[in-house]
Amino acid sequence: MWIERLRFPFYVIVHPFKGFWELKYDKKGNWIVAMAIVLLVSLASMFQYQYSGFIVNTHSPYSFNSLVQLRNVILPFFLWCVANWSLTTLMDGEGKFGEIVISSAYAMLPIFMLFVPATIYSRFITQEETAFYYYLNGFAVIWFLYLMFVSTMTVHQYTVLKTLVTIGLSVVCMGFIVFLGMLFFSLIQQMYSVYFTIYRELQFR
Amino acid sequence: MITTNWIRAIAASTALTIACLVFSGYAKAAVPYIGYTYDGWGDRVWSPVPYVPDRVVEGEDLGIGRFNNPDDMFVSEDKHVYVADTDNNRIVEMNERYEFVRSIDKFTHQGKEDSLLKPRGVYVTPEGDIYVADTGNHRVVRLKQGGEEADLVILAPKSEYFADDYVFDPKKIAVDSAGRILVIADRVFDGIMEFDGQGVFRNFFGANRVTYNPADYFWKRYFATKAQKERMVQFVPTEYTNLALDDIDFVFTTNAERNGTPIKRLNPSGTDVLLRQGFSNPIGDLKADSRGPSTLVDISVGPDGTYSALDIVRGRIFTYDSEGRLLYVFGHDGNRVGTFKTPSAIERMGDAIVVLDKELARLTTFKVSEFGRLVNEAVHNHYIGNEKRAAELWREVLSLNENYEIAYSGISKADFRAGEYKRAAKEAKFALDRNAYSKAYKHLRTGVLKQHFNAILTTILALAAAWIAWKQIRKFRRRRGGISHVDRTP
Repeated sequence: MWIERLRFPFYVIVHPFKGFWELKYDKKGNWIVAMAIVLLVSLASMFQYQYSGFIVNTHSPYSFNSLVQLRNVILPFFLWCVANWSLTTLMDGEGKFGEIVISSAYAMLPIFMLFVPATIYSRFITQEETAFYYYLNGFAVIWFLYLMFVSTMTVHQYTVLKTLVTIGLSVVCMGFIVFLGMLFFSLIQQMYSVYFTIYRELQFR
Repeated sequence: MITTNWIRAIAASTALTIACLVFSGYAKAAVPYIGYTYDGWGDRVWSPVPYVPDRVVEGEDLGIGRFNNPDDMFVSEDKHVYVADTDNNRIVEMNERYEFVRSIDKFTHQGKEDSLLKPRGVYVTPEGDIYVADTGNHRVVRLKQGGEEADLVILAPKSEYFADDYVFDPKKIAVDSAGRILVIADRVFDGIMEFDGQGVFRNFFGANRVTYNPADYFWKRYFATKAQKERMVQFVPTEYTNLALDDIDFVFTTNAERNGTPIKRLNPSGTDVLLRQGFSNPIGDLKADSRGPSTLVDISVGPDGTYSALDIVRGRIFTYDSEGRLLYVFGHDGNRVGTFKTPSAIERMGDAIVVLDKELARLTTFKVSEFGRLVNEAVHNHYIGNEKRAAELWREVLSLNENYEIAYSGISKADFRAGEYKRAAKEAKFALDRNAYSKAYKHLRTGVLKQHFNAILTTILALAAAWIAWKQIRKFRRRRGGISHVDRTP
């Protein structure tokens, strides 16, 4: 059972149309595997940030913060899922939230698969060979974007054009969510400071 | 036993304290600023002070009364110091011990008595001819060696480049070995004005580029009405603030551009050929406080292609090497000895650096410290290609300042030449020099591959053989097990 579950994402990334179809209609996706992939991808991006070779690594060792790194992967992932789900429910999408999360997570698998070897490889290269490293990373990202596209299309049963429009709108929607979040926090902060000032005033009376 | 240890500890610490006081503490306390550089991450890192204040020269010390807003200074080839004492309408000459030689305020020109009015620039040729930017009289004056008689006076040039109501306000001046007279004047945006030896205007060269905000540009170009346009600020190139010639007559210039290239090195055709190979371009401070980025007002050319620029905002002196890497920074604003309020000119006097302060009306001389001397010598050896000696000196520099990346870079270069690739790679990593690291690593890797060629090839062959064998065994087993087809799709 578990072997099947673990092998399924690898099947999906090479046979995306069939794979996502099976994920949706044969319920072959698994929450635990999906979350594990998200975690692995964030670990891989951290690994690359910190351990890529000196020649390609332009990050100051002082500025490494694993929480920031987690935020860079996990936050956008869930933002994407929420934004995509909120939009597609209004746009006749057939996908459920669970399907969106699982299929998006499976689509990220190539990033983990290629970032780790690319990072190890980058420790043994000279400046002339950095092109291969960037090629590997670029390939991973392109593969990931393609899978994202196919997953959105299959899960919601959209046409190509509608998929592209939805993806664009989802990105805009992610921006709105971030904006509203910031607004909310800054208002809470303002309110807190008002009440705190009143409390201080009363205290000093 | 315990008591003797106690006594020893106290004696040792006392001795150390006294040693510190005697050898370093006192000298450090006398320096009113902290030396620093910027590392490869763009962060400020402390460094020992490269130059320490030596003496202060004021007009009163010379017995000629206080300087009044002196705007420019020049140290001639025979090490005489000329100060353009602007609001006293005179040029003051001192010898290399900063003793008064003479003061020039009057001269004869074509038999008539004439005088200077608010001179803002001075330049002295190796032959001793004194060129003065006589700003208040809107002219440039050349005084013969004696300084009593003017043999050339350049008035506002007549040319189609200039409007009829153009007022010639020269402020800085330099003369190259071919006799070209280079003048920076107020309200001239087309570059440096070039006159020939007879005082005839030739052309402009090295114009600064116009810099503007794209939003402003689009607004003005496409949306603003004519009336709005007329009231808007014109987009004009930045004016040069100063210039200095190096030993092959290339012109180092500074300008007040805030987000571009405040330092340029112009070749005779006016192209900027300054090398910018450091972690950041030579722009002064990389991280600015609320007073904004550095505004460079003068530049002085040192030995071995180095140059020092003077920042009026925070009173700092930035010295770069010939490749544009920041060597050290010193100076501060304030009114203590060694700090400045409105520094206006910087010059080199042998090993020393001299800075003129307009507002405090005084010269401050800085002598090189042990750290500065080691850095300068290492830079010199690197410049002439003596990497081995340079590496020795860089090691000494590192014993004073472990954060000095240029030193690691120098040592890495020497190691690379000596064929010590492993050490070269390690030092290049300390220096954050990716280029040098890559070169050294390439040799290192080739060496390792060559050394273990047999082992590597054997391993690869063995793995390939094992894989083929494994395939064969599986095939064999399947056949024996009677399985003809395995559905492997999940």
